[in-house]
Parts: sequence; structure tokens; C-alpha cells
Amino acid sequence: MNKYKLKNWLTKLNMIDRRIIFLFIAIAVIIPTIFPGGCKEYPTEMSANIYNKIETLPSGSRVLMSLDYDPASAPELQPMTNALLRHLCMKKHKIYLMTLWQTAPSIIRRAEGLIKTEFPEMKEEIDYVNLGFKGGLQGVINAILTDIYQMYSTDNKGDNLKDPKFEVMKGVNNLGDMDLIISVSTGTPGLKEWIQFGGDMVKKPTCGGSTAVATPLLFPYYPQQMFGILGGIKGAAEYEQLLIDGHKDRLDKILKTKPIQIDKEIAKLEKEISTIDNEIKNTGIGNIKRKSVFEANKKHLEDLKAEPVDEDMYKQAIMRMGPQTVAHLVIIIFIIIGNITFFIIRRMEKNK
Amino acid sequence: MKKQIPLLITFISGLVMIIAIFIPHYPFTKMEKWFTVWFNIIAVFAFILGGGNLIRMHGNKIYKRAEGWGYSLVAIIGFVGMLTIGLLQIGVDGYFQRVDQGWTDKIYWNIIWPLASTMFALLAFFVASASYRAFRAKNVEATILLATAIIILLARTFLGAVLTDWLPDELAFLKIPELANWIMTSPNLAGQRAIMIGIALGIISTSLKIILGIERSYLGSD
Amino acid sequence: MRIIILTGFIFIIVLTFIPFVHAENIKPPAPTELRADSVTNIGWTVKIKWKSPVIANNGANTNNNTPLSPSNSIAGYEIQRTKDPNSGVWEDRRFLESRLQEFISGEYQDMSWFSDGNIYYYRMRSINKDNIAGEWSELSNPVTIDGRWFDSDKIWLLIIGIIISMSIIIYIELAKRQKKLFIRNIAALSSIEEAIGRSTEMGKPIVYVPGILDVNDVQTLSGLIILQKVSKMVAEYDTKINVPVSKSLVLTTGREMVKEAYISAGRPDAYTDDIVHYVAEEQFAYVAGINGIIVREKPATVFYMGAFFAESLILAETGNTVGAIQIAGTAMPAQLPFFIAACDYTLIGEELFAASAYLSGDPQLLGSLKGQDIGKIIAMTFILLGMVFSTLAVIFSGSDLISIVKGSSDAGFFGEIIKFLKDIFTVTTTHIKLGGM
Repeated sequence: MNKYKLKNWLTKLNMIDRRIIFLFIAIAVIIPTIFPGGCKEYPTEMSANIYNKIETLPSGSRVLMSLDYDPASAPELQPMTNALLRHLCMKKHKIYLMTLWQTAPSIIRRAEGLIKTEFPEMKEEIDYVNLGFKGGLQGVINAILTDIYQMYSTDNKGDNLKDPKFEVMKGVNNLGDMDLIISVSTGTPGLKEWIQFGGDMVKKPTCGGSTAVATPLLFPYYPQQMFGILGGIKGAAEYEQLLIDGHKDRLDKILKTKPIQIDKEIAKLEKEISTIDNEIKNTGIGNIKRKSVFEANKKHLEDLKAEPVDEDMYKQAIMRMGPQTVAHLVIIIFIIIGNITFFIIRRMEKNK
Repeated sequence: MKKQIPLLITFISGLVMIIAIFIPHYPFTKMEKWFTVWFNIIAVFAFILGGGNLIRMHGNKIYKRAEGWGYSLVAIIGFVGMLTIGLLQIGVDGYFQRVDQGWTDKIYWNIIWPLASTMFALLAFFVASASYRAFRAKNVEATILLATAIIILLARTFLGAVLTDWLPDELAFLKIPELANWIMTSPNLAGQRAIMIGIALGIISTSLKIILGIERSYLGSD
Repeated sequence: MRIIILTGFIFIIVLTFIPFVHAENIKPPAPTELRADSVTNIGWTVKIKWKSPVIANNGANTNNNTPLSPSNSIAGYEIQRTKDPNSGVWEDRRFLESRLQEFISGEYQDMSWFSDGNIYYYRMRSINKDNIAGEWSELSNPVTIDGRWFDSDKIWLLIIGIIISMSIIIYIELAKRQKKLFIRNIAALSSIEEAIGRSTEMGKPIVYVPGILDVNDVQTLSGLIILQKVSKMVAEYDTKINVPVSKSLVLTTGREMVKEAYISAGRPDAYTDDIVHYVAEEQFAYVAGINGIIVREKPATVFYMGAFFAESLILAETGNTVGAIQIAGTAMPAQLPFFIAACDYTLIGEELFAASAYLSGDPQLLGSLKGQDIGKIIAMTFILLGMVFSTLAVIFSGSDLISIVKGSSDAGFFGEIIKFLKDIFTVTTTHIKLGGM
């Protein structure tokens, strides 16, 4: 090949049509998705810190978990939410679910669905509570700093939190009563606000998870104000690996019991819904808000029923590392190709 | 007076908000909350203006059959459709509508959410094309950038740990995950903190100029 | 038979009364010497102290009192307060559990949502592990929850804030008298006119994106201020400009500023309201709209000036596809790398806020940039001091930096300086909100 043709070819390669790059990326993501195969992850210090903290907290500790992301970020953040929830339930900690994002109630519903179907020994109102969404962004954190009941008088279903049946709320008056604060977030308000206005003010350990692009912004708070963070899918995969290494038996047990539990929960919800319907039929009045919550939960569980229950269920992030790994390799290869062509062309022009 | 009154309002509200940070006494403790609520109320009224502008612009395009009027038709249909469904509470039982009820919910989950996820997913492709174009070792700084980018890209996969696992303990700091951690928590963090300090100072300066009325261009024409 | 029935009856009666008798015996005694004091720095906090009469159920004898039976051991306390003890209206404040050792030892801080200047009385009672409550204690002394007029924890925040603000104001005043201030060249801003000229020559429009946040964000305001300067040049060059916005308030403000720019350029006839138009509130709907505009109109120049989130790379790459010159500016650190990689010129952080001064050349605005530099000098000085002293503290004490800062190891003179520096900036870092981030 003469020099002119070579240079021409290299120039074309150097200025390759971006659609070819897109095609390679698409193949790099599609093939590992169709043929999944996760590899063992090696946890980093930050993930290990969170794992060790939850592992060593005394059983029954109070953990506030704020799920501050919308469904658009769920593919990246849901695996870490699930992994953290599973760990908290395994250690039998008391969980207080809430969100600062108005598009997140469906996310909390998923969290509740996970607890109900995988850890039936965790009872609502006794071991966990869904406080739901409250508007006000970081103002909510400021409010619950001194008095949680100022913001939350009822739970998600509309039941009064001061009712004695809420054993989980016994002794909880403000954020300072929590033993651990976790925020899984994608933007504002999120983990940064929980650190600045929440954890740092009451001096309680704070940690969480974030999308990969937002994680570097939170490093300034490590390790003083935030003792650990799960960054994107990689962080979630590391946490899942830690769970598998530490609690494989328990995870396998869930696989056996989950399908039965889903059916049980659906039946329970159907009974609750028909009770409210009968009330409305007989008396003309009934708790519509409560009914709508049950219906939404039932719909979610019916969708959950359609999902396969196998090992991949608790390896969601590990499975997603396959496409991420291949895509990163493709990007690295393209960068190397680009630099090689760049240097060769530069040398050819120097030698001219 | 057209400019003096807004300047006075800006000055007073700015000053009050700054003072309120230092005074833990009623009513200053409530001011941030009140001002935020008042701003939200004004923003909600302005919503109508935005919606009206949207309909007018796209309506004009459809009426004149201007280039791309088909896209305007889709925009109008989506806007009017969602508004109608929400206002009439179509598919909702009971007397109030929650975010997760009725046809609003169906449209959100089956149209808006997949479309938003699709747009977000475009980032994966654009990151690849931007990296291919941007990471060229043209000079020393670009070469350092290139090297750190490759280390971080590898560290975000299991390969990063596997490729350098064989290194002895004395050279453990050269393992890719350790290198990546060092890059993110040392030089990257230092640069970020420096940028954040600069940004904070810029915000102080801009805010001061606006509060003191030195910067008035946001008020528009006389 | 009758004897058996009678015996059984007596037995049942005795059994029925035993819990009541037993209950009388197992009521835990009330705490004593209840005292309430207003915390001086932040007046809406009341510190409550009391004497615990019995052993806590974790075995701690906090006040050297005579131990009673295990069933009397305390699981927690209930605290209530009232404005008028005779009214019978009591407000629940707290239930304290025994696992919290510090509360059993006799001290607790009651925080109110805000200070209201009222006088309160407190009372407490013990709860044992069988959930049986004892008698209420004697009332505490009356205490006024009255906020102080100055939060002394923030004194350093105030001092540093005053220094930086005064330096900005002083340099603004000095700039009015000085002839010309030197400002380093910012490539992105110098290229604006060139980019607009390019659009005019090619006969293609300019697209200006002022970010995705509302007008209450400083980045959006800065973006709009730059828009005004750009619009003036656009009006002079007689080029078309398209400004899609995401928020209605940005729409109204943007329109006013662009109109003002066209009037000051002497081209009021060229201005139309459609220049600044509303696209969508939702992030990716807005991005999709702008991408559509860029792909259809094929602008020669695209500006991104304001706050952006995940959409930054999508926008920049789309602009790259149509071959536009792209000039970006944002104070979102997470998005800067994307703009730097994909755009021709980028204003990094504070350069966005400096742009209005740079483009207008107004001495007052340029003076404010110098004042900002004083702030940077202060920051650099403290960073250097901190670096030097923390290195010396670690060398001389042999401990690690974190334990020196926390005070768990003694590092002598240098350690004290480090702690002092940390105390200066601790409130600052907690309470300064970096806008738009």
C-alpha cells in the first residue's frame, strides 16, 4: 500500500464516523446482556465500610433509608437499594423508608415489596415503616432534625404514627434517634443534603449510594462526614459480592421462599381491598387512600410475580457489570486506535 | 420607579436572608421556608405562561404548515392530551388523584418513563464518541489525561483487579483499583475542591452584585 | 364439695388481686431534682438534668443509690412539658430508652422547631421493662425558650463573609477611579464574537441554552446575563438566535433581557417574542426538544451557559454532529468534563460568573473580579497554613491526622493550631450552600 493510500486510510480511521462507534458500543452492550455472565467483584474500601457498619450494628438498630431517585435512575440505583435492604433485613435492623423526591413513591413500593416477599419475618409497623414522600426538599431534613412528627404524622397508608401499633416508632422523635442514615440518590436533594443538613448536624453515621457521574462530587465528604459510598453499578456489584460472600445461604433460602411469599402477599392485599370495598358498600364510607395504596402494592407484586426468581435476582449489578466491562474495553480500544492513527499521521507529516 | 422598586425588593430580601442565617430567633428562622414557598407560588403561576407559549408557537407552526410542523402536532397532542386526562381524572376511583393512579399513571409508565430512559441511555453512545475524539495525546497534559482515563475505565470493571492482581504487596499501590482510588481521592478531589472554592466565590460575588444593584441587566428594559 | 368450691373461689379472687398488688409494688419511682436550663448559644434548646433513683436495667448505678429489685429497673423515661401546669395540657417531648446510656445518667437536650419566647415547665416519669409507668416527678423550674439574637457558632462564618464581601465592594469602588484593570484572557469569552460572526457568514442561526434550573439559581442568572450580551452582538450582526428554555420564569426574564439587548443595539424591529420560547419542564423532554432544534436548524454556533445535569453530553455531542462551534459554561463540577471533552470552549466554574464583567468591560463589574481574587488569596493562605501545620503535627506527634483533628491524640502546639483552623471552618462547610450543585 503506498504512503498516500495509507495516510488516506489512517485519516479516515482517525475521523471515523461516529455511527460506527455507536454500532460497536451497541454490540458491546447487547451481546453480554443476551449472554449474561457475571464475574467475581473485588470490593473497595468504601463499599466494605458500609457493609461492615451494617454488619456490626447491634440487631434492631434504627436505620433511616431515603430513596431519592426517580424511575429513570432505577436501572443504576435499584440494585444497590435492593442489596442494602436485603442486608438490613438479614441483620434485623429497624428500617424507616422515606423519600424527598415526588417521583419516587413507586421506588419505595418496590422496596416494601422486597421486604414483604423476601423477609416475611419483618413486620410492617413493628420492624419497618414507609413514611412516604413529603415535599420541601432539604427542608424536610431540617424539620425531622428536631421533630419527626412535625413532618410525618401518618405513614404512607394514612395511619397515625403515634398509634401504639407502630412499635417501630417507639422512642423515635427526631433524626438524632437514628443509628444510621442511608441515602440512595441521583441528584438534589440527595446524599449531599443528607450529609450537610442531616448526618453532620446530629453527628450520626451517614452513607449511601449515588450514580457513577455524581459520586466524585461526594468524595470531599469522605471519610469524616460520610464513611462510605456505593458509586454506580460498580459499587452495587461490590456490595452484592460482599453479601454473597457473607450471606449466601440466606440468599439461597430467599430463592426458595419468595414465589410462595408473593402469592401470600397478593392474597393478603386482596383481602384488605375487599374489606374496604365491603365497608364502602355497607356504610358508604371507607379509607380510599389506604385502598389505593393496597391496589398499587398488589399491582407491583403481580408484576414481580412475572419476574424470574433465580440467582440472578441478587446479582443484578454483577450481571450488569458484563455489558459495562465490554463497553469500557471497546472504548479503550477505540482510544488506542485513535492515538495510534494520530501519531502515525503526525509522523508522516513531519517526515514530508 | 420601574427599576427602583424591584431593586429595593431585591436588596431587602437579599439582606434579610443573609441576616437570617445568623439570627436563631423567630421569625428569621422561618424566613427561608417562607421565601421558598412564595417563590414556588409565583413559579406555578408562571407555568401558565410557559404552557401558553408552547401552544402558541407550535400552533402557529401547524397553522402555517412550516417546516417540521408534524413534530409540533405531536407536541400539542401530548400536551393537550395529558392535561385533559389529568384535569378530568380519567381512570381514577374516588375523589382525589394520586400520582400513581388512573391513565396519568399508565401514560407516565408506558410513555414518559421509557422515553426518558432512552434519552438517558444515549449517553453511553455519546461517551464513546466523545472519548474517541477527545483523548488524544497531543501534549503532556493530554497524555496524563489519557492515562488516567484508561486507568479509571479499567478500574470500573472487574478486569482492573484481575489484570494487576499478580503484583507483590510492596507494589500494591500500583494495582489498578488502588491507583484509581488514589486518582479519585487525591488529584481529582483536589481539583474539584479548587473548582468548588472558585465557584463559591463567584456565587458570592454575583449575588452581592445583584443584591447591591450593581448588576441590573436581569431587570430588562426601562 | 362446698369446701372445694369455696377454696377455689378464694384462690381465684387472690389470683385476680395479685397483679394489682404486685403492680403497686413494681411501679418504678420517679426521677428527682429535675432541672431545666436554656442553652446559651442557641436559645431554642433546653438542657434537662435529673437524678436517676435506681439502677438502669443494663446494670449501671449512675447515682450510687440503693439498688431495688430487678423489676424496678428502668427501661426509659417519658418527658412532657407545658406552658401552664394548672391547665392539664401537656405536650409529649420524648421517650428515652435505656439502651441510650447517656440519658439514663441524667441529662437530655430538648430542641424545639423554633423559639417562641414562651415559659415552659417539664416533668418526667420512669417506665420499667414491663412498660409500667411510675408517678410523675416534681415540676422543673420554669425555663424560657428564647432565641438569642446572634448564633455565636457562626462568628467565623460572619467574619470571613464580611472580609470577602468588603473586598469585593472596595475593589468595585476603586475600579471606578482606576483607568483600566488587567483581566487575563478567557479564550471562551474572546471567541464569542468570532463565533457569532461565523454564524452570520454561514447564514445559520445561533442556539443559546440557558440551562435547566430556574431563575433563582445563580448559574441561570449568569447565563441570562451572558445571553443579553450575546443578543446585543447578534442584533448588531443581524443574525438569528433561538433560545429554548425549560422554566417559565426563565422565559419571562430571558425575554426582557433579549428585548433590552435588541433595543440597546438599535434593532427593536428585529426582536420577536418567539426568540425565547418554552420547550418542556422535564429534563429529558427539554433535551429531546433542543436536540430536535439543533438537528433541524443546523446552527453554526451553540451556547450552553447555565446549570446542566446528565443532559450536558447529549446536547454537546448533538451539536458536534451538525458541525457547530460550541461554547459552554457551567458551575456543575460533574458536567465540566463532558463539556470540556465535547465543546470547543468551556467556561469553568467561576469563569461563568466572571463572563458578564468580562464582556461588558464595565469597571465596576471588573472590580468585583479583583475582590473575588482576595477571597481566593484567603483560601489559598489557609490551605497552605493547614498543609504546613498538619504535616508538622503529624511529624512531631507521630499520630495520624484524623486522630489529631478529632483530639484523640495530643500533637502539642501544631495540633492545637490544626484544631483551631478546623473550628474556624467547620460551621462554614456545614452551612454554606453551594448554589446549583
